[in-house]
Amino acid sequence: MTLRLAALLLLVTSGCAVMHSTQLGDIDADTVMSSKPFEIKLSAVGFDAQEAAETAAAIAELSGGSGDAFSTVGDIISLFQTGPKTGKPVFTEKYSDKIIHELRTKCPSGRITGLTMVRETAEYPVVSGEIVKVMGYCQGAN
Amino acid sequence: MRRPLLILLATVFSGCVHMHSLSTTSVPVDRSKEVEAKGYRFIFLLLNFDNRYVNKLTEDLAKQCPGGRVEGILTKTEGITYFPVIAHGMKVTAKGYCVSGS
Amino acid sequence: MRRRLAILLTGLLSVGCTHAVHINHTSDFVNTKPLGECRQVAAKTDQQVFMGFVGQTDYVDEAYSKLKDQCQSGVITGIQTRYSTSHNFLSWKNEVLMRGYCVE
Repeated sequence: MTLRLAALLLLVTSGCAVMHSTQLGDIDADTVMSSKPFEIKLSAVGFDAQEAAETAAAIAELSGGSGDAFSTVGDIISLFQTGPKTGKPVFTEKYSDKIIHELRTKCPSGRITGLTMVRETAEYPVVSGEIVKVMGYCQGAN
Repeated sequence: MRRPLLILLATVFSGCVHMHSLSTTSVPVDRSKEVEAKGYRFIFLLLNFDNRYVNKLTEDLAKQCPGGRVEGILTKTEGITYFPVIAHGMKVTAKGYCVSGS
Repeated sequence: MRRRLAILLTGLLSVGCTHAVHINHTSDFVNTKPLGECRQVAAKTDQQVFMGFVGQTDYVDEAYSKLKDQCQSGVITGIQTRYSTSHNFLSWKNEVLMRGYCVE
């Protein structure tokens, strides 16, 4: 019971927002001060298989069994996921490609200024939300 | 024993900064008026639940340049380690030039 | 042994190919027309890397060059740049996708 409660508490409190990069575009001051900002947020679920295997190994050991099999599997899986990573790996790299279409919907005139682009992660144990966020101001929209 | 420990503690407490990201927009000819905005978050025990501190940067820059355009913006995202695991900081700095709107 | 193999196979089959999106940047918009009337242009290049042995990032310049070639007499605005990596066995593929609007 205590273990379950501890695990639940850990799950609830460990959600963390991690900032990877922020970029600002040129700003038209009048548009920014007179318009309401729009926001586009696109995300995908990130999954760390090695972390999952390590967690499974730890749980197996806590239950009195052996976590070796899970550790080995985790190590082998990590060999198939070699390469630079930002946040946890996702299953599709195309989740953020809709931004160009979303911007057209938010501001059909195309007179966009004050863009802020953020790449962040909402971290949880084993899984995460890999987020690409774009905020901006549309000239002519109040 | 005391001296190495003191040196170690001094190193640990001195803070460590590393760059997360860097970007710049086209730099204008007129660089007479510089404007700057900063966003900062202190993170205790690695617990940080949102990144809203960056949302106000654009407005802060715009307020410093009424009627003009802010161009040549250098945006820096830095991570600061005050004490491993316990105390961290995230700082986003945006610096640019205010160019008159005419 | 069999248990390990079973777990390994289940793990490999359920994980699939993974990717990481490092940067997604949108450039400024310099428009004289509504976006619906502008032509969309796009360029995508990649670089295969084995065990981290790579000596250049020319694929980025190639993507930029391909994008410019598609809009030679106009302004390319609202450029979305995505830099991502697709992971594989001891190797990975870096990819750059650039998309924008050609205003002629």
